[in-house]
Amino acid sequence: MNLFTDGFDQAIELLVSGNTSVYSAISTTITVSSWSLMISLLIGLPLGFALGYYNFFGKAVIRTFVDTLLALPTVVIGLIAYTMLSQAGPLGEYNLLFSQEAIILGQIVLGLPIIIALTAAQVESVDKRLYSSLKGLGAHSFQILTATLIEARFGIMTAAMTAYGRIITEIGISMMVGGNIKYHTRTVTTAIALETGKGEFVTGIALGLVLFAVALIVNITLSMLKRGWTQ
Amino acid sequence: MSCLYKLENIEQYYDGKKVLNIDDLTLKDNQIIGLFGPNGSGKTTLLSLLSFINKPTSGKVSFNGIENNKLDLDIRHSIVILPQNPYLLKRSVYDNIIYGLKLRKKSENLKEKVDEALALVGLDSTFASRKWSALSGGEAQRVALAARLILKPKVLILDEPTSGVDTNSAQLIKEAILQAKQKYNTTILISSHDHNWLNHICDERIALFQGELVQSGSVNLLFAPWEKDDNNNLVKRFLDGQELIVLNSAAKKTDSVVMINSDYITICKNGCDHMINQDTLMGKVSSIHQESSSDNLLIDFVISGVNFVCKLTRKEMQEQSLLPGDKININIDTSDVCWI
Repeated sequence: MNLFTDGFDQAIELLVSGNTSVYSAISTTITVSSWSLMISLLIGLPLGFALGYYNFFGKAVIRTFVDTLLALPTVVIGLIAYTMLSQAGPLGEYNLLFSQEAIILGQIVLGLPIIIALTAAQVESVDKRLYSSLKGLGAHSFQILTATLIEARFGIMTAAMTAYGRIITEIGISMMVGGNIKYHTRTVTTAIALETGKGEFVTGIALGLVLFAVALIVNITLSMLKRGWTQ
Repeated sequence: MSCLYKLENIEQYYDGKKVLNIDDLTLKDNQIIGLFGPNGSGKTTLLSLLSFINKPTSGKVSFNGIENNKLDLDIRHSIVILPQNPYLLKRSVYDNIIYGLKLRKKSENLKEKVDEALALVGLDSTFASRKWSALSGGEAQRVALAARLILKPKVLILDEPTSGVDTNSAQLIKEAILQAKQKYNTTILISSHDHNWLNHICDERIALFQGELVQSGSVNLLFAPWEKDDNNNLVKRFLDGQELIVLNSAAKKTDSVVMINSDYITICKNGCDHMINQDTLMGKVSSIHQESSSDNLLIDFVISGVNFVCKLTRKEMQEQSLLPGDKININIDTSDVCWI
């Protein structure tokens, strides 16, 4: 129990003292995970809408593939991203390996299937009368897309929160393509792994609590937003 | 009145099953046109084609002489449909009502327009700030109608607009529809099971059965079950024991549907000796109203729970001095009925 209480005390101390390496890891974590989520949403929402809304040949196969990607381990994604970004890989010429951009790319691969699969499920569950009502008012395809996504906003927000939770807590991608470089690509999760490896359990727990606090703040903000929409 | 819609050789299939088959249909503008027929007769499918939400599997739908694939956005925006059980967006009433205007990029005087549209459907302006979730079924239906009326459409298509709402809301919806016709010269197409209402307000009535255009005007559909008499003709046995024998029907199946034009029905209340015979039926007048397209009067009557309609001239009506509730003698000429 002392480990946890000490960890909590140290977390407060680390934050209050303005420890630069901790704040750098927090900043890197929030930066890369926020970019990953935003890009995943930009790509994933239209694709998820299309998958949930339209009926086309091969839809079931694509759906199964996307659902399978949900279970992909982050270390496997990290490995694939590493081979793609290394000098011998197809994207090697861009010199992205061990950069924040590399982590973002890997995390997009992690977040995208979550956004696509959950958005498709939400769009499928939207009341079927919505389409005829929107068409009856003269809406064209893009207007139907935006209106449907707005109607499914509560479910899509849950999809975004789920994806953000998975992205912010992953370690495999950050470690393999980020390289855990201090003040550059070190995230909170890779820092926890490093500190624990060094035997600095209390620091590891402190960083874990910081990660929990960040996730809590994000969730509370989104929940308040949701409540504001429904009232 | 000019030709608004022209439908030619229309066929519509769902999952390989033909649900609509119309060879030729012309609808004129600035009218109220009623569609009636039993569930599954193709009313909603026809309305979805007329609103250009769906394209026919084959055939041509023209609007003001322009084929459906050549209609521009302005024309499409001038036709709006209120589907059966419309969906309200998960937003405020105000946002729901202005949604169609926003699609058309019209953003001036929104508040005044919303208030006017709400007033048309009998709701006061305080409703504008309500959430979608704070409305009753009837209020939601009226808000959905207001969201269409605010667009001042050239054509307003209503798919069973009063189904599932209370009497008060239904009355307010009916009044709003008539006001739209009066204020905006809107052509209105309505499908409804409320035959009395359609008879009362429509300039033209279109009957559909199993996807086929049965007939325009006032007709009666008589459904199975049928029995066979000694001559093998079909007999409709009413609950009170009265029988209607359909002549020349020996070859027809007992699940057939017969359509009887209202012109083939004769009714009489006073001095009926000249018409009474062994086939004369007894019924009761349920309502009387004027046919919109002529000076004739439409008499709704009931034979043992089955509704019928027939026509009388104003002179015949005065001679008979009919009132709702009056018992009448009825002769139905079944020698030339239409089988479906």
